[in-house]
Amino acid sequence: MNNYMGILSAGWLIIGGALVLIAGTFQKVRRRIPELSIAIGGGATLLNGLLAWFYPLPKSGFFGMVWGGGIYSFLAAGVMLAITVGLSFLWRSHREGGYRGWEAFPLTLFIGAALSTLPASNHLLLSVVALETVSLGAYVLTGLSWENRYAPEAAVKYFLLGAVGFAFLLLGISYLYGLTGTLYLHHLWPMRWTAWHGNSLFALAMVLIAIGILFKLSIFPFHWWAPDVYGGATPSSAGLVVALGKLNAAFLAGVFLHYIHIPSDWLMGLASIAAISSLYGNLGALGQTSIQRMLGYSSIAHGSYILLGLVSGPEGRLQAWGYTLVYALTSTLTFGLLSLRAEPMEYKSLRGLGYNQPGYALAVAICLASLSGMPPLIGFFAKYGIFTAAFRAGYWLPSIVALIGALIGYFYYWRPIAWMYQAGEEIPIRMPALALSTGVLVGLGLLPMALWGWLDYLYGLAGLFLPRP
Amino acid sequence: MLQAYVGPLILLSLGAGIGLLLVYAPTLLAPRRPLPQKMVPYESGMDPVGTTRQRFSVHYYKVAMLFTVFDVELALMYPWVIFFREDPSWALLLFISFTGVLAVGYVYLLRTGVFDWSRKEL
Repeated sequence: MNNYMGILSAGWLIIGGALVLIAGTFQKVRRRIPELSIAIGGGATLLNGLLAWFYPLPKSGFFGMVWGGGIYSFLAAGVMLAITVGLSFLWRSHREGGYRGWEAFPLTLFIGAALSTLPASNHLLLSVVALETVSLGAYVLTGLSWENRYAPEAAVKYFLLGAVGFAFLLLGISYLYGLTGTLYLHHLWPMRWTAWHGNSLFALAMVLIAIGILFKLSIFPFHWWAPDVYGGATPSSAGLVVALGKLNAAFLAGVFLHYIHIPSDWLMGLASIAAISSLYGNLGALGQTSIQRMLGYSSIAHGSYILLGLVSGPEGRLQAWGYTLVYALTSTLTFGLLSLRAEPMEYKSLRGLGYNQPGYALAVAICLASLSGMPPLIGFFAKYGIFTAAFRAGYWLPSIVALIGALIGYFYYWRPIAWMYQAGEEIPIRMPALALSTGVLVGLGLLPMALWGWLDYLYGLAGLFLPRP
Repeated sequence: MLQAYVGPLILLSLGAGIGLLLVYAPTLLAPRRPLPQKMVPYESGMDPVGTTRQRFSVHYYKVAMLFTVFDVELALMYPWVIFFREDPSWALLLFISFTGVLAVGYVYLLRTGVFDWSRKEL
């Protein structure tokens, strides 16, 4: 049992996805595909959660290629939760579209299998295969729509630029293999990296890998595809695409930065890039009039916070992973909620929504406020953790610049909320409703903090806080 | 340190040189007596009908995918034979799972009508 813990959830998802794929070719069963897929995704979430609960100490298995249990199952549970939420938003758009493109459901399950294996992988080949499976699926999900004429264009852009980034990454990994002669990550950990630090081959390998990861994370000099892709993607799956890209890059970068010792001036350089990227993404999002395009620009900023966390030592990597899980879930929810409306996603079309559909508007407002980092919500704690870790790691200037960017973020995230609660006629809000919504707000914010503590505990148990020998 | 790169460089220049030589040697050396029959593209002695730039059926990409899938399977089979001698039970499990995944793709293609060439729409 212990040996197969690492591939248990992936096996469940692949077998389930294959069954769904074959079942969907029968006209009569096709209408039940979304429910079946959501059940399989939810089952994987539960399975991973139980594994993390009952086996807090991770175990290596499958020829030492995959970790299972502990933090790895926890991360997989978070990933599968975001994917299940994304699937349930796809459900509605497919029911209205006559189940055209139902292959998105098994595809998303396969993506889940790959993405939940990525952080647990102990072998670079497995990591690369998982990374590319997720990316290929994300390209397809981007261009899923038949009605939206921007979606295919976005998909082709994403595919071409993603392939370029992946080529850089693969070339870097091949140089790394040439240097060290191993692809197992636990062999890279005790390696005497300081001996390599002046070497030009090491520099070349690290630059290539960094370019590949910055591409996937859409950080400033390699960001130009992000607004077009996320702004043009099919609305019902755009949140999932954003989440997949960020999770992919954050997991791979976290694993690399843990096992390979990077010189501190390089880390400072990466932190500076993150600071510039935060300013760029937030300033770019400021001028947008479409919510989807605004969220596309802001994904550059969120990528920069993740990068800032990743370079700030073991504590920062923990916070960055937590932040990515939170961002993935919130962005899936935000895009999904916005895609439920038929109208185009302009700020103006939201006018008065807070009075016509109070529940829906409150949900959108909570999601946007959480993305901006409003204190009682989980988004605030995630950002707080990242910036604390960055300050502790000594990146004063980059952190302050990135914080200024985050403050700009408040302005454009709160503008759609302001539009929603603008109305011609005055509608009095009753006291119980106000109290209830405040309670929901605080409850939704504080509940995940228990999960955060659990993540912290499992992270320490997995030895990811360990100082370098 | 640069000496380590001399070998690959020689190999690279030899490869490129032979390729270029084979392409350009005939234009320099071969006798040229152009006749109208010799200038048409090869069509087994027939006069070409229509233009060479045609649209392929959209089915074609699925056939190409199918070919790639089975090509990959062959690439796995050779190392698998060696591995079979070391650990037969693992090797069997590995092959069953691999062909199982392949079979799912095959059944999907079959059911969606890839092999039905007369169908117009997908």
